[in-house]
Amino acid sequence: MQPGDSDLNRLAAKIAALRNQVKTPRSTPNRADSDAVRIVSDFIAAAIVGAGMGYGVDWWLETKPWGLVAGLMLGSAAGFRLMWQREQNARRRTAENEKTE
Amino acid sequence: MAGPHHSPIAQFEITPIFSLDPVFGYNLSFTNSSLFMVLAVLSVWLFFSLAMRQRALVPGRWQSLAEVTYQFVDGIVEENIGHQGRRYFPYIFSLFLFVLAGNLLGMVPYSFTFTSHIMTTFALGALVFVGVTVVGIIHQGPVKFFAHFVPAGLPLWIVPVVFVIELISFLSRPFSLGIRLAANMMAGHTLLKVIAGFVVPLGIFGVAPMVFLVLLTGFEIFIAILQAYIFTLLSSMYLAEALHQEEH
Repeated sequence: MQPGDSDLNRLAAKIAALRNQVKTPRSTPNRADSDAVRIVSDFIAAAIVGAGMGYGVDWWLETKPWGLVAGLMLGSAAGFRLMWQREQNARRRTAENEKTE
Repeated sequence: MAGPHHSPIAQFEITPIFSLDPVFGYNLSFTNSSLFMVLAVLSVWLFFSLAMRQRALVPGRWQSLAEVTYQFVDGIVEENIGHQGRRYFPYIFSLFLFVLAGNLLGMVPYSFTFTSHIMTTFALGALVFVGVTVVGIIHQGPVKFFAHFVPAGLPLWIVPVVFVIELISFLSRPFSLGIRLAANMMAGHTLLKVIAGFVVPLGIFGVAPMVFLVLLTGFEIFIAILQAYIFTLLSSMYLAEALHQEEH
């Protein structure tokens, strides 16, 4: 039997009580999600990929310029889709965070 | 006055250090860009081996810095991928350190910022993309993986259009990763050089751009770290998506 045993137990109980009291705050959620540069670069990337695919189709099937036109439109649509998805994900996450709090 | 050497974009020029003959039509010369990539790897290696030399239970300043870096990336992986992501941690960590070292080395005067070149960042992004796709196909099976491109409950006539759109948005990921990093680094470094170009010609009034330049340098160091973080964060988010099929 050690002399400081009850002291240690009391300290452990105190620490546990304090731990329960102070909930560790959630690490700042999804700050990068609202990053405007991210949205823009996603959109540009989608448009570039769409245009590139359209250009490839033109080159392959000799349908100039209709592949490029269609590709650019589809690419832009994909860009908007990415934006929309991000918005939905962000909303779902904030809803989840509110629920847990 | 301002000769060609003072152009704000002269800093992005790639010059060979050892010229090599083309191998199968590819120019494989060792350039200033390659040199700084080697320096980035060396500096990361030096930092960790020197900082962790003592292996103290109570870390000193350098060891704390190394441990904080490790825990930072560990936190990103744990939070975004979960416990399943442990086995991909070495890759994510290496990626983070390489981009971070490249960005920070670029802040040293007279250095070369290899992360400002879209080809470099796109190659890194493409590596992530190929890895994530392979992991996704292995983990979920090809059928389930490609089923993500066709959301359920759509009328049949619209399925091909949606498939192409989903395919484009999936394929755009490495471009998006590469463009964001390279554009940030290039814009920041160009701005620094443009502002710096005002200091001497303005004479005594050059103090104003000089003060701004000091502030901007601090901000650019922040951007260097932030962009390395975002690159890593997005890579692990893509990886998480490949591992947990229910999220989409």
